[in-house]
Amino acid sequence: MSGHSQVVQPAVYVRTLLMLMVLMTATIVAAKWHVMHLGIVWNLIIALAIAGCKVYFIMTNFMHVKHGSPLVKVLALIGFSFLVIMFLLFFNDYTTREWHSPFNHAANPTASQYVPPGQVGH
Amino acid sequence: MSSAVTDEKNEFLSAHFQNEEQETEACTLGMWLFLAQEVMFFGAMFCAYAVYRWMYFDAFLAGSQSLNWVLGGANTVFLLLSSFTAAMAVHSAQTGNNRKVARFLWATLVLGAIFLFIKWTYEWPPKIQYGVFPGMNFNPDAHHYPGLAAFADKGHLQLFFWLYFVMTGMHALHMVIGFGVILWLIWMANHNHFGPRRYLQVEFFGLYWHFVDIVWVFLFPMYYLVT
Repeated sequence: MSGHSQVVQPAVYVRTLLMLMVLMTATIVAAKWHVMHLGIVWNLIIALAIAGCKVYFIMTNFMHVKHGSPLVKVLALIGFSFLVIMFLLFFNDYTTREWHSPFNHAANPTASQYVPPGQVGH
Repeated sequence: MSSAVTDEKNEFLSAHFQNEEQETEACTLGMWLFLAQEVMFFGAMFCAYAVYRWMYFDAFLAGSQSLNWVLGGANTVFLLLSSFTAAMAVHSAQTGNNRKVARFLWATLVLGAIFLFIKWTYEWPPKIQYGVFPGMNFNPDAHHYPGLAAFADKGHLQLFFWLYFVMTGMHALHMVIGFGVILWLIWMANHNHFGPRRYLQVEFFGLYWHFVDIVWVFLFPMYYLVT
């Protein structure tokens, strides 16, 4: 296999590594020392946001997406887009599963009127 | 296009490509497609993790607090360093310095081996030994894992550790596969295979290794730093 792409200078890799170390420290500090007292949800969002920043630096500099062709950029974006779609559909299912259940009497007071198919007249 | 014409352009160019740019583009695209399916492979497991963490947060919190975040943090440092050495190996291949390619790949291998050594010596064995491995014998030892032993909902605790062992295990398996590729690339570097116009094997190994790094970037806070 031959190769033909832009050569990234080592200084860029060193800067990226330092940035990743700083972000890793920020992840631990935010989680273990409860710097901002924001609660469960915001702690998760902060952890994911910092991880997202790390992924950005790894992909743009270490994985050369920054200097890649538009096709590579689109493909990298598609990978994460499908991941987001999968997460949305998963949670769409799990968070709404009880809403329209005929057996959920709390959410649906008329649920007792439901008779499963095949059991009419029993 | 005849091989005679391609030989004039680049002796390393495969016969079915018209030029270097086309070959690089096609091979790179193939590698990124492979990585996209890897994203979906790990993504499904992260989805399972997210749903069960949302449903049984207390069990996931208790499970996370039993993990040693210092070891997890140290492993993160080793993996980030190995990503750096992998990137430097790519740079060395692009500039035709085969000796440096081999050295940086050895460094990547050693750093990855330290990661797995910590995992296989200090993280997994104590859990298996003291009843924190999901299954019929799941019974956390009260002396070594008091928080887990006192936690009433053992079923959902097992769910946490089932996901922990599967996801970190799959990640470790990817690293072991990477070790095989590293050894093959070192052999090629020792035979002066790489140069400014022939380095894509190292570049693609780098992409794979950085992807493994990215997976750990999410595994670390999701398992070791639940608060």
